[in-house]
Amino acid sequence: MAPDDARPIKPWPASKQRAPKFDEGRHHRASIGFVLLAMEQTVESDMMRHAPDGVGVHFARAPMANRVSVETLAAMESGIGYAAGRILPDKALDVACYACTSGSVVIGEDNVFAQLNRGAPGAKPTSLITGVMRALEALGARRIVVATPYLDEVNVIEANYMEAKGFDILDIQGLKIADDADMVRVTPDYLLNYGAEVDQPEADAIFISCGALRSVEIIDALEERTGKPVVTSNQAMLWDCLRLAGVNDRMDGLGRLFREF
Amino acid sequence: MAAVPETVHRWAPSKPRSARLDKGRHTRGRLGFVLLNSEETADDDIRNIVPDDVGVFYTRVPLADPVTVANLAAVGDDLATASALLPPEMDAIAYVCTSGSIAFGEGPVAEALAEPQPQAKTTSLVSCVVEAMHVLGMKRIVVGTPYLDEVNHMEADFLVGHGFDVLDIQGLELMTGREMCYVTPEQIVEFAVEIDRPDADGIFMSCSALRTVEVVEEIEQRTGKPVVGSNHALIWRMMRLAGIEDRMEGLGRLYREH
Repeated sequence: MAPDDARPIKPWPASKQRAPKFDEGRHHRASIGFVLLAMEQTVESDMMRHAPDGVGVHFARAPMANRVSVETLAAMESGIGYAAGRILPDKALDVACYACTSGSVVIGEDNVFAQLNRGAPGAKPTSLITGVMRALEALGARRIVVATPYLDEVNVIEANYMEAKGFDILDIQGLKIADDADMVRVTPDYLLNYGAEVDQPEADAIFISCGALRSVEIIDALEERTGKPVVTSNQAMLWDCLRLAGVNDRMDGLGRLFREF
Repeated sequence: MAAVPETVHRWAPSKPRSARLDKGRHTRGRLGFVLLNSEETADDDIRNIVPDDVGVFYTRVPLADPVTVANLAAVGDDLATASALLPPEMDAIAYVCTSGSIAFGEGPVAEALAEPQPQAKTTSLVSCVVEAMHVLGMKRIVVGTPYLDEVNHMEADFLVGHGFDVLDIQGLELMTGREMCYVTPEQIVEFAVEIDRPDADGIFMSCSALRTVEVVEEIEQRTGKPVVGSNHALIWRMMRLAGIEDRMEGLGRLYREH
């Protein structure tokens, strides 16, 4: 038998009939889609590290300039639907979330939700600021101190937005960092001290704002130091998305919010 | 009457502070991945394998079903735009679609991805597969895929063009990217073992949607031959392009020895 007899030549042979065997997939509990800012560098690792097994977390990016100002944030509204439409379009995501705290404030939750549902019609829409406010409500916190990396122009908008929703913002302080590439470099130790510094005796809770900050790493330490519940952007976002998707696991290492609610 | 709340400026300005900065979480490298819209296997595979101090960043491009050669080729036009949406200063960027990188072409994919990020090393999934098979010394190969035969035949011609002797290529003939993510790892093992033949010196299981990385080691043990999977080759090659030379266990010969 010549070796060539064993070798298919063009045209290639047809595949044999095989019945595909499917299971419920890796993400049988829920699938969550996150719309990220183009330059986002912290959300993906936070979500992938902390999402429980069986929950899929998937990402797409929306266009935005690297300089975070009110103008550039508003300009990204239409990009939200564009990006949401690219995450598992034929699966029907359980939840679609816009993963930018200040962006969801400037654009407004209703506008963000409409854009998310334009791209992902079957998904429950949410946004980072929505998750933060739900987390604060679950913790029974009304009087809040806020630490951010932002410019004061962004802080004022965020504080006003939260006050209009019924929170009492005792103080809001920013690091006045305009560039997202620098926000991701703020050390967790610095954030721990910063959070403790903005705390006040009359505050019910401390909120560290911004998905770019590595604040999930210091939640337990800051709660221990201040005796108050701590909410951070990515912690609240993951909690909100999981609960919206019906995933109610209690988890350690991410503060009272995940342990108790 | 619900009035739009007026912007109130009653908060004191922020105190001057100089935040302490370090090099960030991702001190060893930054990898960008352009995924298909239906992809839900590669993003997990990548984060599970790549060490925590290497950043992985994702963005997505739309592929229309059914997964035909024409629809695969059409994705190419979106690659430069998608690459521009990744964070700056990527060390390496890859297009995560095996058959799509053949349909659009390895060179055009690499060029499109590099257009907005000229400092990055850019590649396509199939280029990573070719590199992996070369270092493993695979030449006479059998190929298992989830694809339609028109896609299989394009892939077989491509591999022959790169000097491989394709002894057989077999597809599950699935029409959609979503279905491809739901093929059981057990079936991937059975499929690979079934298409293996005595004269093959390696097995390639094609497609980033298949959960092949979970079973590479098992197929190697069952067949005694080196096995390459799409994401398996992609992640290995992307780490090496960024200078990450870690050897790893549980992912077959490629990660243990090369």
